Amino acid sequence: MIRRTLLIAQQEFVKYVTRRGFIISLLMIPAIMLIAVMVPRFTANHPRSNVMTVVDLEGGYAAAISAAAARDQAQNELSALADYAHANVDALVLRHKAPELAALLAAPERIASIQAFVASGGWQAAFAKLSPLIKSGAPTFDPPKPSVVMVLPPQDLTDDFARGRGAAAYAYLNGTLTVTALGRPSRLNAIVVIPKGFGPGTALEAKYWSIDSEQSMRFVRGALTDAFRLKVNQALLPPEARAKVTLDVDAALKAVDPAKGHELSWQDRIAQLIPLGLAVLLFMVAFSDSVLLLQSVVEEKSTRMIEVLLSCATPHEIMTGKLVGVTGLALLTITAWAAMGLGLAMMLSPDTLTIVGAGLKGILPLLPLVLLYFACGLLIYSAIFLGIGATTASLSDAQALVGPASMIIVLPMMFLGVMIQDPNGTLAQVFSWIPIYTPFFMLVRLPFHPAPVEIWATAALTLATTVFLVRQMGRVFARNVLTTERPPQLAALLRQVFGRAKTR
Amino acid sequence: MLQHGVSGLRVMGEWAVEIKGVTKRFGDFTAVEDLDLNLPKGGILGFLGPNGAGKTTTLRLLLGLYAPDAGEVRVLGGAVGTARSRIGYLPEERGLYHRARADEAIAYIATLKGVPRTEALRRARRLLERFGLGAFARVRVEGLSKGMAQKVQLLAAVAHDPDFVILDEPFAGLDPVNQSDLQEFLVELAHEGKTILFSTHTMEHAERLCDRLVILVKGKKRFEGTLEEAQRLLPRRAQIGADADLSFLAAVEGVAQVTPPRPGTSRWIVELKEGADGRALLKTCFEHGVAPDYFDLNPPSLHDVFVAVVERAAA
Repeated sequence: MIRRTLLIAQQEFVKYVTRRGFIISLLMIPAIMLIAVMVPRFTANHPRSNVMTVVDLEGGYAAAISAAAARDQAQNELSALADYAHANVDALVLRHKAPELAALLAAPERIASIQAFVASGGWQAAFAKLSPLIKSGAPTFDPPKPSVVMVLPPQDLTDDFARGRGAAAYAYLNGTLTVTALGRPSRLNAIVVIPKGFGPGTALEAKYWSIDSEQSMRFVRGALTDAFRLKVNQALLPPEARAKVTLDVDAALKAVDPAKGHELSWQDRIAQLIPLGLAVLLFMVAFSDSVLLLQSVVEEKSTRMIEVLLSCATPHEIMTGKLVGVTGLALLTITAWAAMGLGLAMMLSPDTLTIVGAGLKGILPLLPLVLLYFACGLLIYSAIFLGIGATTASLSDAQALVGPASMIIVLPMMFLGVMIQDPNGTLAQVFSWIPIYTPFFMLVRLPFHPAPVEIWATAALTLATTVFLVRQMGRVFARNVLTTERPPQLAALLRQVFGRAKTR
Repeated sequence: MLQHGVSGLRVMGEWAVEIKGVTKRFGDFTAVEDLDLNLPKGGILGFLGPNGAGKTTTLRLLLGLYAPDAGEVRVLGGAVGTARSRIGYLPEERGLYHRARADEAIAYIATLKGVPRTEALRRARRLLERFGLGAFARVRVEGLSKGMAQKVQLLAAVAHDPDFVILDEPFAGLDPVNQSDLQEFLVELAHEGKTILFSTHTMEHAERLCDRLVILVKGKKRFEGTLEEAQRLLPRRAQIGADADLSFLAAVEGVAQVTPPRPGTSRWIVELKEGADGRALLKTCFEHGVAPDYFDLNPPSLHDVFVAVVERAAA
């Protein structure tokens, strides 16, 4: 009995281990996991410097924000230097040879340490003192990039806001117009507008204009609040009490939707979530429905139903019919899920309908683009799975190709967190130009107002990719749908997709 | 041979199928080589050949599923593809959606062929009724027996009232009762003036049904003609059962060869020349005082012809 069991085990093991799909998956899964881990880590370790300008119509606050940025940068540099010293300098030697520096590096988070660090000449001076003590073979110190780079506001921008408008802001934010930051042209990541008369005790609000994440907004609000408190402190308290009392005065800072020119409302925020939800749904629906499509083609091949269909219609008619059918299925799935979700949410909160209605109203101007990206994404993924179904004779053969294909397609989901944090960052921009990822990335980015040229160019790219893939996969379908042999080699398959191989 | 008398329905000069010098290759493998074939409209044509002979490839060429590498195929007087709605097709296996109901499965194909949906459903139910499957009209295909499903598939192939019906191994997997039903149905279709082309391995069906036969071997046409013409490919022979020595028959006029019985049998085989009178053999036996217990002067079976043609091709 054991012998038979072992024979069966051997047969099973060899059967799977020699499959192309197994070997590809074996190598591809670690590679994708590596990419999924390394890319967010890389972006976390190499944060983008947010280029920011302050249009200060009141006066004094731009300097306060700049000072806060410099203080933050000094703290980051001191912390980085402390980490470097901890790894590359003997602590006893440091305490003995440079006791003052050792004290700073021991408590880099303390305000006194940061002030002393800045006063003594910053990281360059500290590193000069540290250099003789560094262990041999240690890497060089790479100071952190500033998280905020302050630039002076362009005159036209200041004039624009002084006249109570903000029309120029969007052009600077989406890169149509640039400023010079760190020696090179750059788009503005944020514009802070301080209105005339802004100060403690007034109802005026500062505005934060950006198409990126609102990470720096917290910093600006903190800097303005500190400036407020300083002002109030100085105005109300006697000099001897100022250091002991902190007044609870907060500055008001509101985010503005640059494309619309008005404050970002909760409706706008709901509207931002709808395409994101659609992007996630795109994957869920594309996979569930495309796998059904693939199974149906493989079944039709194995029962030779496909021959009957081909005796009634052309391969392109069949493929198009299948794609339209699966698109309808996807729409039904989404509608059903949305209705169920809405029903459940309405049971929990009667305001749900109002909130969703407002969100939908907010997304209305983008709706054609949202639908375009969604439909194209669905067609692209369906066409890929349909092509796979046509080239395989059995479900197990199909599975061997579906695994690697799914892994490649699903890659963007791994960057969802990075994307939400920085929807117009480098990662999002780069992936937006990779055709099979364009629909997903652009769906997520659309509410964050990427540059119009980027929107229209990627829309054209997506459309062209969809037409190309559907057409070429139609050719693959026509060529392979009657074969009952092993799937073609990858090189042959690619030739069929990208070449001009003849049909059956 | 089943008499159905459909030959008279042929319209001379009109071809259901015209294949001229067609070759089809798959990589280095030549499935069909330089095939010429003209099939008249009306009647039943049997497409015979061993496995891998190129039968299915030829059927797929006729359906436009494959494009020939060389040569030309015309169906019902036009290019392949133009006659799509006038062709019915039954693949070798059950080409049906297993979860579809019987009437819908039939109507779906008819609709694809251009019949309006309501009319297609009406025809489907009428056909199912006619073939004793009325009670199963709303049953899913997966719930039908193999024979029933095969019938449903066949009805799906003809529900749009095609002029030309292509059947790939229609009898495969059917029990004798269902085979008989199917034969009758094919004869009915032929009576209605339709051209039926079917491939088969089973010679009895071809023998009973076909007006014309084509034998393909290794992608080449080795025979085309009527059953009688096929039978003439082999010499006429008599089988005579007797325990006595019948070698004296070699002296009878018109006898080509006398083969003694194989060990354990008592059947002598006597091959006759063209035009020889076989009855002389029986007369000579009695003249030599031998009373045969078995005498068969029937022409060779299609099975024998087929085997001989295939063996000759292999040689």
